[in-house]
Amino acid sequence: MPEKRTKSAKKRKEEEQKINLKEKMAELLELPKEIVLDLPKITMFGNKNLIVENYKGIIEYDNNRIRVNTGKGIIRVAGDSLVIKEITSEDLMIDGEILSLEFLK
Amino acid sequence: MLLFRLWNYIRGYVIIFIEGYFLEKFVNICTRRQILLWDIKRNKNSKMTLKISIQGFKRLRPIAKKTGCRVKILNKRGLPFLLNRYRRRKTFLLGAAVFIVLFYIMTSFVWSIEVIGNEKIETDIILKSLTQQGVKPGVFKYKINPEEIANTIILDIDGLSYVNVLLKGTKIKVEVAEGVKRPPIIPLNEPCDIVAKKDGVIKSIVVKAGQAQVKEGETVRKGQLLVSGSIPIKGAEDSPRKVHAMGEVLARTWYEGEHPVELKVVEKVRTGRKKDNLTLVLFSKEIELFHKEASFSDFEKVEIKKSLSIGEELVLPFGLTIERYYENDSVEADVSFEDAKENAANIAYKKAARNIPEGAEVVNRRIEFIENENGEFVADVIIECLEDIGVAKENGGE
Repeated sequence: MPEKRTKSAKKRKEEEQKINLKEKMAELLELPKEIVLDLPKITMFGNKNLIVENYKGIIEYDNNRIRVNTGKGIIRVAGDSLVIKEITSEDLMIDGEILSLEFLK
Repeated sequence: MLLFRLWNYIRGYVIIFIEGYFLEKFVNICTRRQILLWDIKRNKNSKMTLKISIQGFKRLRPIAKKTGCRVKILNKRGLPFLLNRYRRRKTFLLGAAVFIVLFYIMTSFVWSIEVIGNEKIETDIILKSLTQQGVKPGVFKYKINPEEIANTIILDIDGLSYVNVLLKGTKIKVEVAEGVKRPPIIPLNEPCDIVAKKDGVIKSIVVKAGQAQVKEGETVRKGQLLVSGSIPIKGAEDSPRKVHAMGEVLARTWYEGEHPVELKVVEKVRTGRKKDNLTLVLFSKEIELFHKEASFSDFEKVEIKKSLSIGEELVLPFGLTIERYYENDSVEADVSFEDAKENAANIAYKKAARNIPEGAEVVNRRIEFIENENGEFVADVIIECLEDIGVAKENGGE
């Protein structure tokens, strides 16, 4: 078991290095990061409107809480009378009064 | 967003109600299968409403089964549903189609002709000229060539200086301008005389070519030779030299007008009673509706024409003509002698001035009131003018 653990740790380290390299490359070539690094792109208009691009799926949807799964963890949006205005496979638009936005690992 | 909504309206969408425990899963599967969802509202736990396109809705059944959700349609919106509702109504559709076709056919004919700008020349003369060329209400409008018609009219009718034919909708507008009638012009190289075109007393005579035949102060009659174009040559009296006579012959002319002085004026007053006779006009047919002769002894007839039109241009061949009879009552009123005299003088002056040609200068005017044998007065107006009375006339000489 301990052997396995070290192995997985090693793997993770390798992966991290890979990401670092990718990030550097993206920065160098000025490529859009949300595509190269598979990150969600989040756009907010005040606290009324929130657009999440490049997401994986919704985990929880409620009037005052929405949790969205992305490639890099979960985004939790809390607010009042939240409505999914539009949803496609690429982007998600949330309307309502947004109170907080959190990133959960 | 407006465009998005408009597009959705055209494509058609349904508002659905979903009840189940795995609503998030339901939404995720929909998005993964490229089904567009919008306006998702969570009502309570395990219930939500959303909007979905028709195409998306058709693919919803397996997803609902998989996630164990119940789907209910709340509302159908958009153009496809609206059209579907009318699909069954064949007569309605047929009626709409017939209407459009009929409307198109009706508007490809000329239904009314308007003549504007004419003062002296009667509208009927122009209309007659149009009719001769085949332009009349009911004629197919694409056959008409406005330019050609305008050219023909201007040649056809004397005294028109400008004609424009406009085809607007179902209406033909003929715009005309009247010009002064010109005497036939004799070319300069042809010999001619100058004769008087009316009676008068010569005030001055200036000859540029030819030989004067009258002196200042002489009275001339219409047609009298004023300036001769043939100049006799000494020694050869039989074959005088022929020239194109030119000159200005100013003469005093008089114009007279008279009108009796009326001490009693009959005024017509409408009593307020009226009678309408309606005539329905369909194409060029007239259908009289319950016509009855007005039973008034003295009446005034006014014709009001109303035709159905869309806007100003698109006149349809349906109309209504109202013949309205107003009953009149004659009321005699006394007028003071001074007022009556003034009225009569005004009318007499207008009568006299009607004949004064353009270019004549008014020198003097005289108003007289003459009493005739019956004791009635007549206003007599004489206007004295100064004008060129010379007019060229061919003398036929070589």
